[in-house]
Amino acid sequence: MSAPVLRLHRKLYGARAVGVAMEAFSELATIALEREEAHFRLTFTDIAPDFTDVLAREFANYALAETIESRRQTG
Amino acid sequence: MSDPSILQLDPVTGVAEVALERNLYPLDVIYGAAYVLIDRAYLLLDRRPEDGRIVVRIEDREPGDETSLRALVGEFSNELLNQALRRKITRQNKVELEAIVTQALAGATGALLPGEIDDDDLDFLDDPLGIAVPWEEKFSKEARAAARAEDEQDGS
Repeated sequence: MSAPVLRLHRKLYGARAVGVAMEAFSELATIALEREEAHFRLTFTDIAPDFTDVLAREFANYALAETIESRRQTG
Repeated sequence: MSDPSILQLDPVTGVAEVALERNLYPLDVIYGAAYVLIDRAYLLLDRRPEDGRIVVRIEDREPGDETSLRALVGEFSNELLNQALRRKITRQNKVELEAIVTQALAGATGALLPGEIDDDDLDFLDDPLGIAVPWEEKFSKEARAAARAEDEQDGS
């Protein structure tokens, strides 16, 4: 099975938020980050068995929540 | 004019995609609406390069039937309006809110607001401490001589 890939738009997701999410999920998978022109491209490998189906989507939610919260804090 | 337009709605996978005009729905509004649903759905935001519209992918955490998925999308749409209205009201009331906060802070620190100063007894010419007298004038030879003469007179 191919490794799940997640693409988060760089104008919609904060770089710091993506970094925080990577750190939070680092124990559940190996996460590789590449910067494309408009997106952060995240590839998930060695995913913990219980999280195979949902990890990328949970990661996306986490990064989104982090983006929104940090945006609210900075006004 | 466009309401949030549904690009995709698949009850089997529980996935819906909604496209939003940036002019109608600022990013803060979209973020606010997404945040409300984040515990019940997987959300993914993206931007369409061809027209700049924001595409929100909403995936039900517990896929049901078409009705429940439509309800989720409807709730998201309502929340967009709710957030937009809240944003508008906040902007309209910004000046009043700032004035209230300023008054509250000034009251808490004991400072006087400009309107509260009773200036009947104040005269801008009053200078009881002599701070308006130039140094040269205050400590000139003549002034010191006069002060000394005054002291001697007091002493005698």
